Amino acid sequence: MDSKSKKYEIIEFLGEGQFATVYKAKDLVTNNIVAVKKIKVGTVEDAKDGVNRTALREIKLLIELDHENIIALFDVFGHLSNISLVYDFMDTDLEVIIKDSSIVFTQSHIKAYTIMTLKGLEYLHMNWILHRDLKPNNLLVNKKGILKIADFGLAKRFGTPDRLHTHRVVTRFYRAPELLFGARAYGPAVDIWAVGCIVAELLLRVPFLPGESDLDQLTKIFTTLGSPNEETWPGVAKLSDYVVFKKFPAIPLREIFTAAPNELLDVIGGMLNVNPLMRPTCSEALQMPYFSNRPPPSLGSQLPIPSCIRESNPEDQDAKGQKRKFTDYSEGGNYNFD
Amino acid sequence: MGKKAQKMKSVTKSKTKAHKQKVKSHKKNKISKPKYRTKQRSESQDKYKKPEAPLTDYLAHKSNYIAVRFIFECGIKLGLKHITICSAAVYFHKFYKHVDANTYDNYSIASATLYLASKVHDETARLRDLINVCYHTLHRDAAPLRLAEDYWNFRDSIVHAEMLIMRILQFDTTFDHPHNYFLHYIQTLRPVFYSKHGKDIIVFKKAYDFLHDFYHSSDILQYKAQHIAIACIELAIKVYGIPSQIIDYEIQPWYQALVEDLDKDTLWKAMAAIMDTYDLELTD
Repeated sequence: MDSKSKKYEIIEFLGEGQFATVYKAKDLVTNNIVAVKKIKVGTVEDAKDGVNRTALREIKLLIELDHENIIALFDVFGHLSNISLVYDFMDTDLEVIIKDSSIVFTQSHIKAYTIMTLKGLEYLHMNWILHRDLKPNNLLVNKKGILKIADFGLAKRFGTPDRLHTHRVVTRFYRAPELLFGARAYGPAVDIWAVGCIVAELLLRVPFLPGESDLDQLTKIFTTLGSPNEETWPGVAKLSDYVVFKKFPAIPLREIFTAAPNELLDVIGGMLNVNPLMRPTCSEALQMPYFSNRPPPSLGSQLPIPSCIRESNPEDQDAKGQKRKFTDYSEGGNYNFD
Repeated sequence: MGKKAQKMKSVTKSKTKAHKQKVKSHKKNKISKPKYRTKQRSESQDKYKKPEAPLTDYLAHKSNYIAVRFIFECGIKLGLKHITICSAAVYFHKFYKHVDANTYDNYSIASATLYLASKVHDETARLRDLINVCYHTLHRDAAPLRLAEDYWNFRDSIVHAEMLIMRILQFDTTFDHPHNYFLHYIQTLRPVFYSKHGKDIIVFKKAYDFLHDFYHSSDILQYKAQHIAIACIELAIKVYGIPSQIIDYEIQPWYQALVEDLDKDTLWKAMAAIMDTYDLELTD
């Protein structure tokens, strides 16, 4: 396939993770700027097992998806024993934007990011796909302010009742309580929980529930949102890794998010309901009054751009922002899939 | 597409060929052993049991039909889901649509498609299990493959073949299987065809058998998933004869209520293709 590797001209190196190296490249046919992710066959273990499972999963799912808020997979090509995936080029990600202290979020900004995330996720769930690794640095943002969900290394089809999933998914801060309790039959509510954490993080500018271990994560969740019981979450005690917690009262969200409007607190409260069955679906969430009330969400062009990109030095602009994002690709590989 | 496939082939051809030869060489060593197993079975069969079909000696055959049977046998032994095995068969047919039949070893490719399909469908089949099962199915009387050169060669050939298949498939591992439609059609038809004596179940079961057997033929790629599902059911109806007062073709063929774009010609062609599958076994 020499013809195809010549189709792209590498512009610069963007970042490297355990499983992949990412380059910014130019498509010589269309002149578009793209991101090329080259899957490594570095370790001996990998080479022996053939095509990387994570990459295969990502290709399989993305090839069928087409939505404005989902990263587009333009092309896949193989060279010798390497596989390379060609994506939309995205300038930055939401984590960089959140951490950039020179940016001040308005209510319109937060609303715009939340809507774009939910729309992309709604599309995924309508196609029976769970993302299972939503977090700010998997939400990529380009210069036009369009947010796209990326990294489908942990994504999986759901909906077949007798197929169980592994509970060892999602980066810890964004992991829903049912996963921490070892649930193996879960659904789109785990992604909704993660979105709830992300919205909260947009308000606080730091991770909302930064647990240091799985148990600490549960403690943080319950001390903040109240511990579950058979009434608030029927059947919770039957989960395999269930641990009894002391009774914690919920802290009113108003005390945590002092500046947020009430409608937004309803959204967060709904998404961060400890009982997965009580969380809204994406479509239901998008129908909540917050999204139709004033102020309207910002247009893409009005959304903030992090300072590392604003500086028009093309040499090192992306290195800082992009690096973290791709190292996370490796984290996914540490989980056991079943 | 054809041109691209040619190019892809040329890059890895030399490598895979070498592996193929290695695999072949260890095959040759084992092939001369007498095959007692099949004989013993047919002699000692229980009178009250249905006689088992003789085990296929895969190395004596070279046709794609037999190779797909190999995929099915290994897949079932590995405990893979039906849909996974069917995907493997589809990858196999797609691969040989672009590649000259004599360039690659059938059974290495078949094993690799099975491995690829198990990955695509998130199954937990380990490569080592797969190698042992495939090896044992090919060499039924041989001792288990030792973790030595032959094993690593076989493993390498599967891994290389897998990559090659991915490239021939242009990394598109999705396929619209008729199974989903089949299930819906059957559920719709059950009340219509209901029979006290369970004849409807027999008909549907036969239709499902047709569907699975059709995967042995590369014609599975020629027809739309919906059309294949209908053709299997229609063929089973024709074979068993559902009383004509239930479905009157004069008024409206029953399938037109389920699929809009299926005309009689296409249906008959698809049914003929399904029937032709059963002649493939004889050709080699």
